[in-house]
Amino acid sequence: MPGSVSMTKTPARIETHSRPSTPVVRPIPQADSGQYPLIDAIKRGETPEPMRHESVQSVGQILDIRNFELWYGATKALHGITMPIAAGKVTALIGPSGCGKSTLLRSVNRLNDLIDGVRTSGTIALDGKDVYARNVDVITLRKRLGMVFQKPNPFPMSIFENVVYALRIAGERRKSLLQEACEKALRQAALWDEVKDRLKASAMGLSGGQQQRLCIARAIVSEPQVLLLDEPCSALDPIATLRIEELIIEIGRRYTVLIVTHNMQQAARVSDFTAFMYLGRLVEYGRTADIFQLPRLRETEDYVTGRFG
Amino acid sequence: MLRWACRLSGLVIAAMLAALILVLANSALPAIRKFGAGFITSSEWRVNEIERPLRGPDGKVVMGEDGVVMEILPPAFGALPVIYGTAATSLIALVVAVPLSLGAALFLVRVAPRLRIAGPVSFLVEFLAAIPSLAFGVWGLFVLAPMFQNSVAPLLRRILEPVPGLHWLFFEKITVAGRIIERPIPLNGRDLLTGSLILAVMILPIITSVSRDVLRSVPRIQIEGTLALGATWWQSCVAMLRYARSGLLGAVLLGLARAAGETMAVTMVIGNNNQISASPFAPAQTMASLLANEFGEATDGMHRAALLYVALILLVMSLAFNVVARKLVVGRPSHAVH
Repeated sequence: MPGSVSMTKTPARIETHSRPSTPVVRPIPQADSGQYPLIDAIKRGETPEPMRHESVQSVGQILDIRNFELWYGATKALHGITMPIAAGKVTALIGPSGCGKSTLLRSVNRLNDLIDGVRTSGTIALDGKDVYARNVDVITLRKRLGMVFQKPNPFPMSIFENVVYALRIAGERRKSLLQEACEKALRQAALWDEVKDRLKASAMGLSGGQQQRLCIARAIVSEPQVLLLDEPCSALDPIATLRIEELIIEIGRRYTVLIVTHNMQQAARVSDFTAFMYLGRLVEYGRTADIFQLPRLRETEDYVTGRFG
Repeated sequence: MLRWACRLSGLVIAAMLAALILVLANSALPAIRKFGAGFITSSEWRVNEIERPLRGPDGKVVMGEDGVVMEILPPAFGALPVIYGTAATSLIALVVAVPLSLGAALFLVRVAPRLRIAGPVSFLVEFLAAIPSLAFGVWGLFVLAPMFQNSVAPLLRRILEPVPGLHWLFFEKITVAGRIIERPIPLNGRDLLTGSLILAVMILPIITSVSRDVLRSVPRIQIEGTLALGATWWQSCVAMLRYARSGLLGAVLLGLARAAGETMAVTMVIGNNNQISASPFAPAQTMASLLANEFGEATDGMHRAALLYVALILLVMSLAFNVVARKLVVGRPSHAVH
């Protein structure tokens, strides 16, 4: 049951609250009805100061995003994003399509570098060091970060080789060490029992959900400082999604996780902190419980309850 | 109405291929009947009857009562030398062309777009594919062969000949008057190696352009997946090649099919000698160059049939390469709209 999952992180009330069929009747707001001052300002092209709860400042940070901006050619995709990411917690990025949440996530491990015409300003500090500093080696940086994509992307090799890929390309050859790391990562990804007898089989033969858990195992095998999840369940069926969500909660106890999601319930279930983004700006950022139950902005409240966005 | 026209066009093409095979097989029938499968394992190629002194086991001419006893060798045809020539030239061409082509394809997919020269370079590659083979042949004959004759081959000889175990590269054993003697191979630039290199140049464009398309279709998420795990540029390229491996094998087979069937350029530089020699510096012959050389003067029925038998083998082989390559590149047939 999903109930058992949500119980571990957030009170059950959220689920009733976030259901679209809430009895509270409110008129559908118009674009410039004045109900959403922040959103209206954003639509006018401004970058208003977001609602950042005190709770996000007080915790130990591993990632510190400061005044980060990004352009795709002439198009500005991220505007003055300033948000600290808590160490050892799960932070969710939510917002409508095209709000820049994936772009922000891919900025952390500099995967956006691959796209032509990308420019950035501001800083993203990992452990106090700006990842965009001139002397940063991108390869080394990416080895310290794990990433899981929207669609499972197992490599066309065996399950074992998939899991230990990061170690292999780092030059690790010791068989016993690789086997140990493989088992550990697969156990942490809750996949060990299903695949332990066929580690030599091709990873392409796994189901979609298993493939995505394999990708998680692959991403955590070298014990990254931050795990970046880019809508990891968007290509999965509900049951596989549930398993991944349980896994994210489990992994969130060991790793710092930054997750992009379209699914509000998912953010509510798996994360400790939630950031609501809109058109490349941060709108509200606070504890997940606060964002979903006591949002300070009308915009956020209506977005998380499905009335807007 | 149009649908029928389309069906008819499709049928015409299939019928043409069938007719080609049937006519070839029918004309080659006398040779097929006479030599059967032994045709491809025999290395004799004697167009005319030869009369020569009979030699005993000691190599001495056998003397009879009326003087020298003569033996008469009837015409014989075997395709082994040309099959060997085709296989060897194609293989050497692949060894040279495949790494270059894959490098060029990777360049076109991973580097050129950033430098904004993918368009022009792609155009050049496709242009290279459209150059008539005669042009390559002329270049091979007047540029490559003299270069080999005057500088490359002598240089290689000076370097490699003293190396123990490489003696065979530059010497051949022949039977003269019943005795086996060894003599240096004349390095005149028209040999198996030159033919292979011309072939390499000619198959480079097709392997490059097919590999480029295959590599371009590798999902972006695969490449990003490796990079996100800290792969270097080169490691991500290796992963890309691995992902596309069956398509790349198809590209190589398409190149092989072209190399095996290529005629004009090879005929001009290979030296046209119907013999198997271990050395790549010896003149050789491919199936296609044999046909180009001899078909015009093949008046004798069996000679003609034997040449057509060779042509049939070549056709079936190329067809097989193409079918397998297509399977690998395109994958399983998708369900198109009917």
